[in-house]
Amino acid sequence: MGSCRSPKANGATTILKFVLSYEINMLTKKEVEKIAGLARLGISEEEKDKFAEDLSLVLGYVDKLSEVNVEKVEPMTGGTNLESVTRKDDESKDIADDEMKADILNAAPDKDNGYFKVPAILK
Amino acid sequence: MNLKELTIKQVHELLKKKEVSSVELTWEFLNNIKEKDNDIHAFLSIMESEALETAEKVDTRISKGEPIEMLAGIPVAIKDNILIRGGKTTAASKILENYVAPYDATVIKKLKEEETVFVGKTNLDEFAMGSSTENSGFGPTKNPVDLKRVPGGSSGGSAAAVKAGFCVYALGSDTGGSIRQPASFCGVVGFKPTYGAVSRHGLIAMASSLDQIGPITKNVEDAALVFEAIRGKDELDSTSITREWKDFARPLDVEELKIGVPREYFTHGLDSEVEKNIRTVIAKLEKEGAKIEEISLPYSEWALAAYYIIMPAEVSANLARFDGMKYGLSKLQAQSSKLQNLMDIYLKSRGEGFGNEVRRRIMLGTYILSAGYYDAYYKRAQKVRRLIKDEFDNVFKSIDVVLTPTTPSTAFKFGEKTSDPLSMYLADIYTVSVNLAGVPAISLPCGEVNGLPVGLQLIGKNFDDIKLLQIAKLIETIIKEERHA
Repeated sequence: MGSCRSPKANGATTILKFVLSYEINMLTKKEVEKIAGLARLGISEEEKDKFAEDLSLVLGYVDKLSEVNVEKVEPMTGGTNLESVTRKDDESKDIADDEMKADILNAAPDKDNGYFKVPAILK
Repeated sequence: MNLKELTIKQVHELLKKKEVSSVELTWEFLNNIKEKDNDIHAFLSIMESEALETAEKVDTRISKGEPIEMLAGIPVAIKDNILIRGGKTTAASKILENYVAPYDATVIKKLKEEETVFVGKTNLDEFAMGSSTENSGFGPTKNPVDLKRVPGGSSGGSAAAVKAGFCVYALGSDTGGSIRQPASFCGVVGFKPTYGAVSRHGLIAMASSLDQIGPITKNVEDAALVFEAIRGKDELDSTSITREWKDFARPLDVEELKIGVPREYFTHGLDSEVEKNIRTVIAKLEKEGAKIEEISLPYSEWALAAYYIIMPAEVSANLARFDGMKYGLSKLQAQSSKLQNLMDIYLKSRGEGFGNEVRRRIMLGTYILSAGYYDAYYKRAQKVRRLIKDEFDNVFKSIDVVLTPTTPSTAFKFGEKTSDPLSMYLADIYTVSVNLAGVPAISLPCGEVNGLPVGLQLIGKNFDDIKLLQIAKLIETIIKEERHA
C-alpha cells in the first residue's frame, strides 16, 4: 500500500481534482446491514441502497490517503501532547448536588430507587 | 439604536454611562427576534424570562454604582450543543428533542460569572455535522444576507443571529470549520481558539480531539474579549491547558508582519471572484509594508480525507452514548421493559432519533474502526494528521500568520449540495487542516462578491491566539479603510 509519490512534487496540484478521478468499490447491501448492526442503528430497507452508495463514495474518497508515504511517521493520537492527565475522583465536583442528581435520573425513561432501570442484558 | 452594528465594547460603555439599561437593550433584541426570526430561524429556543432576570440584576448593580464585568448585561446567543442548566439542549437532533440540561457547560459558568444575558439557543446541523444547517432536525436557518441561501454550518444559527442583530455576540463550536465557515457566509467574525484553550466540558461531543468552542462576533476586538472570558484550564476537561496569555491591547506594527500565503489554497476549486477579493487585500497589506511570502503546505491535499476518517471514527464512539436508556428519545416502555429486547430498543431509538447525516457518519466510523480496517484507515489518517501538524509547525518558524480564503465560494443556495455527501464536505476544504493541527484560526469579513460576504482566514501558531487576534485586528482595520477609500 502507498505509492511513494512525494507531496512536494505536487505542491501546485489542485485540491479538488481528485473528486472526479477515483474508482469506487461499492459496498454491498449485506455489508451495510452488518455495519448498521454493529453501530446499533435501525435503517429501513429503502435506505440501505442510498447508504451503500453514500458510504462507498466517501470511502472511495478517503482511500486517497494511500498516496501518502507515512513510513516512520508517528501517529498523532489526540489534539494535544498531554499524556494521561489525572485528577482526584471527587464527587463533590459534579453530582453531589441533589437537585442535579434528580434531574439526571428524571431524564431516564425508566428508573428505580436512584438507579437507571434497563431491560435484562443476560437471559 | 442599530442592533446590527452594536459591539460589546460599545454596549459596555453605554451601560456604564447609563445611556441605556440592560433591560431596555435586552427587550430591543428580544423584539427584533420576535419580529424577524420567523423568516430566519436562527433560534431553537428563546430564554426571555432568564434574560430579563439577569438584565435586571445588572441594572441594579449599575444603579448602585458597582463595577460590572465587560460582558455584563450584554445579550448573547448560544449554539444549542452547549449546555445551559434547566433549559432544553437539543443539538438540533430529534434524539434530544426534549432533553433538559442538568448542568452548565464550563463556558456557560464563566459567562454567568460575567453576568452576560442569554437570549436563546441557536440552530445547527444535527450534532454539528454539516456545513449549511440543512441537517438540523428542526429545519434550516436562512442567511440574513440572502434568505435563499444557507448561513453555513454547523454554527449557522449563531452566525445568522449575530448578523441579523438578534444578539451582540454568540458562541459556536468548530470541529472542521463550523465557526469560521458560517462566519464567512454571513459576513461576521468567527474565531476558533487553539485546541485546549477553552474547556469542552458541557459541549455535546462530536469529535473530541477536534472540537473547540469559540466566539462569533461583529469585530475582532469583541472576539478577543469573549475569548478572554471563556478560556482557561478546567479540571472537567482533561485536554484543557494552563497558559499565561498576553495582553491583546499591545499595538502591532504592520511592517513587522510576515504573512504566508499557501499556494495550495488558491487552486482551481476556488471561485475566481473570491480569489480576486483576497488577492486585493494581500496587495494592500504588501503596500502597507507587510512582508508577503508564498509558502507551500503540500499535505493540505490530504487533509479533508484524513479528517473524514478521524472525525467519523470519533463520532461513532461519542454517539454510542445515545442508547435510549439514560436520556433522550427512547423506545423503552417503562412498565413493560422486561418484555423488550435490548437490541430492538437500541436499533429503534437510534434509528428514529438520528438523522441521515449522523447515521452516515456513525456508520463510516464504525466501518473504519472495525477489525481489518483500523490500520489501513484510522492509523494511516493519524499519521497524515501528524504530517499536517508538522507542516504548520515548520511554516511558523519563519512567518507570523498564514492567510487563506475561508471557503472556496460564497454562501450557496438551499439544496445545492445535498444530493451527495461529498459536495457538502468540500465546503470545509480550507478549514479542516486547522482542526487536525489544533492551531487557532479566525475568519474575517473581506468585502463582497455579488452582494454576498467573502471570508478571509488567518491561521496562527499553537497558543499564539493573542498574536493571531492582534494581527487580525490590524488586517481588519486595513480592509475597512480599503472599503471606505
